[in-house]
Amino acid sequence: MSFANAILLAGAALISVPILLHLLMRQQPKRIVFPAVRFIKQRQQSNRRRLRFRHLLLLTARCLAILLLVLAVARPSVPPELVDRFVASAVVGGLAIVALLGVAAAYWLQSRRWVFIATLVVAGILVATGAALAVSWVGERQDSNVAGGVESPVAAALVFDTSPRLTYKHDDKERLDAAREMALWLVGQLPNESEIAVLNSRSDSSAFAIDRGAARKKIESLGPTAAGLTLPQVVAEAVTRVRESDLAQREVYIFTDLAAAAWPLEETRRLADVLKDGEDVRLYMVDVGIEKPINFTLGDLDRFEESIPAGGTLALRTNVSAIGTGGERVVELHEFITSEDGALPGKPNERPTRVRQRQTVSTTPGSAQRVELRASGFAEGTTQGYLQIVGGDGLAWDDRRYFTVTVAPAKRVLVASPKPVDDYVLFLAEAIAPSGDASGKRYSCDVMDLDQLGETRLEDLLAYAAVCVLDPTPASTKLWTLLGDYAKLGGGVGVFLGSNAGGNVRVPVGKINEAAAGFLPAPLVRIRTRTSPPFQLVTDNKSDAILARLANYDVPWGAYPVYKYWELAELPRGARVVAKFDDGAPAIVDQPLGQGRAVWMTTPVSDAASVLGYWNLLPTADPPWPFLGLVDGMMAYLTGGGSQRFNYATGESAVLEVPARFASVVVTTPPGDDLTLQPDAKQQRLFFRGTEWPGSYLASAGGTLDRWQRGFSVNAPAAECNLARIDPTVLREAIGLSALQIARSQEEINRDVTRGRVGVKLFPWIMLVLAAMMAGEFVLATFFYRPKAVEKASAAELMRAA
Amino acid sequence: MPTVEKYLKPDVIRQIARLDLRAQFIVKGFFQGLHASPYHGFSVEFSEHRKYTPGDNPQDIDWLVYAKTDKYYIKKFEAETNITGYLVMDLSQSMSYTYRQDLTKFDYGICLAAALCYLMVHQQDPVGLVTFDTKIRASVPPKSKRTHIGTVLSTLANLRPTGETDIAASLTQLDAMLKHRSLVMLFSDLLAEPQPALQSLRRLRHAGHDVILFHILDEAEVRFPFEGVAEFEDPETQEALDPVDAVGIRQDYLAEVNDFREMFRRECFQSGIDYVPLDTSMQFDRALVEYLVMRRARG
Repeated sequence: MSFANAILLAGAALISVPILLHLLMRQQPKRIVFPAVRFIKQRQQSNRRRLRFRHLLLLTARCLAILLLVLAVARPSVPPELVDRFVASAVVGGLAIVALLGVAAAYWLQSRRWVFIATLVVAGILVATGAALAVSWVGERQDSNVAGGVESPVAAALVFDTSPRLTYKHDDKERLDAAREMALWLVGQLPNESEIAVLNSRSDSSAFAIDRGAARKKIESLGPTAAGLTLPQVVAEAVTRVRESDLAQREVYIFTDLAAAAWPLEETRRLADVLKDGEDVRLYMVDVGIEKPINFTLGDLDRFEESIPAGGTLALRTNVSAIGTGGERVVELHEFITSEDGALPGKPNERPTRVRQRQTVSTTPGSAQRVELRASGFAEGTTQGYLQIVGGDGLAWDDRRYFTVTVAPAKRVLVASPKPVDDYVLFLAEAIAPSGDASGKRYSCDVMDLDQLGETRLEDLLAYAAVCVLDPTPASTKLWTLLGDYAKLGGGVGVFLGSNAGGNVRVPVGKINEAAAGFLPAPLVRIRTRTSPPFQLVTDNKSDAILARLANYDVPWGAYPVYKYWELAELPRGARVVAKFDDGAPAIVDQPLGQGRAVWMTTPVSDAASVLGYWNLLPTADPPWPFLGLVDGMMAYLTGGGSQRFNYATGESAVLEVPARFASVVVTTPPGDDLTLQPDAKQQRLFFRGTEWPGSYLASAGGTLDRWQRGFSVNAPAAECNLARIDPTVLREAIGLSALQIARSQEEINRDVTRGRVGVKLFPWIMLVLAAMMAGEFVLATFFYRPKAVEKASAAELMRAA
Repeated sequence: MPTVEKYLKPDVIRQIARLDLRAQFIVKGFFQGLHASPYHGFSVEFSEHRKYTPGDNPQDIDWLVYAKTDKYYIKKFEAETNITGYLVMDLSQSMSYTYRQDLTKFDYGICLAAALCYLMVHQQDPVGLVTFDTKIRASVPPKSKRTHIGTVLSTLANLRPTGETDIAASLTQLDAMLKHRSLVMLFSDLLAEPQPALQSLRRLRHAGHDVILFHILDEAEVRFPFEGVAEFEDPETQEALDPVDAVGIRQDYLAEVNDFREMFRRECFQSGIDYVPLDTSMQFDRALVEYLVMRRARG
């Protein structure tokens, strides 16, 4: 509790007046001659006791009235969060006084013994409870944010939700502008010598500003940002920041649109833990959102092929959803047009585009509609563009989804096998380059037998991006040496071991081990067989590049049984198990070799189901999509094209492969800023962390003579732009502040702040109790000293009786 | 209000100095009131006829009725029975108390006694007077002559409250004095130990006397109008109590007084004694009615 006029509390000394009057100023008795003293004498004792109690009652009432009056003029106030405790203390205190009077009454009026003991016990309990409350109260108050009045300086942190959602326009004003306006007004309202910090979701938010001007400037410079900390994290940071201040009053103002996306419940609950440390920081929530927003949203793009072959087709799929409204909308696929000379003037997002496809969708409020747009015929190199909902709405940020793809000619892959080649290569060759799809093939597939491969020159082999060997025989050492050399020079070799490798009377297992020594990751040991139940693949390493195509699916490998596989000796360090069988033995092993790599699969993919003694049904069970996904991933890995990503979410680090010859790369951000960065020379990669703006980014190097250019796209997660609002009750509950007020206007902020700084004013309540106390005192006094009209009646009664 | 009736009020009667006039006015006022009251028939006039039976006084034969009916009838009068009345005055010091400084309990009792004396003599009832404090002090033997009124009234007029009192002993003494069945009318505030007094009253009753107990208290003793802190002093013993808050104790006091009167009423009722609680603010007719009721019962 705090007092506006604490000095007036000294007036409590006035209670000595009635006490002194009671003790000292006793009336001098008048002597009255009265014959009927015998009747007085008989009741004198009990009368005296009763009188004493009445006097005590009156004295208590008068003292309490004076105390209450003094308390009222001192204008006390209680912090809102402690009102309930204060009321509890006051009630217990009042009851304790009543109980103590009860004890006095029981003593003076000589009530029965048990009444006296009972009142004594009740009074004891109440006094003990009151004392316990008072102690806990005092303990609480030590760390609490003592309300120091409206004009004491405060340590204030202004937290802004600068998510793209806040660019929602209502009445031609962005929500962020509304927040900014409100904050600028608030800064003007803060008491002199206050410390002000401005924080938003950028992690580089500053410490306390030196003066209001700096704070204002900072507020004015706030812009939307899609990356960084979540709002509860920023609030927690703000709470920590104001706690560091020496000022007694600490306040955090949160400017939010109260979108559910801004207050993820888990993190909000963690914020509650931060706040629970003490009640020393007051939180004020300023709602700048719109109760019923109207908006169309383009959802996150489904995963799509980021590297497409020349002539291939780009397919983009997403959802179109609406909130607060519905209707038809046109979605367009735009492709940025790159000038002939490759120069990129201005901002990447504002380059001219051409529309490659349009689609009309019909939406209803609260539902999502799928759209798929396709385009093909892209030029080789990097292609950027976006999907867009045509026609504006309140929030522009979620009307566009950017994409970047690279277009490259089909890569050549050589598939070799023992004779007859056609019997072996059918499944793999079809999986790599389907024969039915003439255009847009990512790979072109050449086929030869092992003998031919063994005779091929290394230079010729290097024309292939990858070489796959199906069910090899031990063959000659020359062949394996060739493959090893090819791999070391940067090629990718895939080997699918099968029955031809040996392990029988005719071809002992030692033969291939001997021939391929130095290339095999580990010697073959034996063929392991199991039919009931058969082995099955386990691909739980979802992040592996080879398994990338299957990462999003729960593959039912049980439907693709494996009956036999080659058991390998212990793998050397450096070899990596990509997939296992269910008994733990390696199924796919990746072994880096020089600049290249070799991937071994210990069971073949060339056995037709019609051939007696097939090892597995991986390529032949229906439907074959896991096999296709596996091969696709493997080819992408072996050809070195699978690890490149060109599309990121805001806040993610973008990685670009940069040729070693470039020492610096210029990255142009969507707003048009050019940032010069040094790539990691060893990894030949550029790491870019400033992906806070959604849009197209361009990376270029080499000037005009040796131009190298790549690009990537960044999109804000669609959930960030979801304008659906959180229920204030849920928010209060999650944040752990049931009394948290949410203000929408300057008046409401004023009201909440005054309430927070000054606390709940107790003046009216004390006056009410005071009035009740004075009325009680008056009633008591009147009741005790009223003239009795009994005697007349009693005399008349006696006469009647007589 | 009829002019004579006002003399039933103590406030009015105290303005009259002479006791005989006071008595006269009280009785006249009383009877004036009776004309319209249900107390008709209490007079000493003709009441009824009854047949003559041998042994009746031949003087009472109504010869006019005989002339008309040829039968002997006797005139019957209310006052045909003589009652010897004794007015017994308590001379205790407490009787001299008055709160309003006008009519003391003693004065009230004197007026009442005078009126009753007047009334009785006019009904040809012999009336005597006895005063007592710790013992019987003065005594006027009962007579029914009109001149006796003067004797009694002059004695009454000269009475003064003296000091302590002993009702029980005095009544015992009176009991010994009375030879015939009499009507004893006791005027007292009874501010003494009640049980001995009651015992003496019972003894009187047991001896065949009719007793009317006029319990006279001061208006202040009945209403307790005091305020503030006071030390109450007993006028007889000069004993002073510890200071008490008058307002605070009023309720208790009144309860105690009522209990006291109630106890007397109950005890008197059981003993066949008429108990008449009075205070100095009450009209006198209450006492006169009480006497006449008793007179009739005796008739």
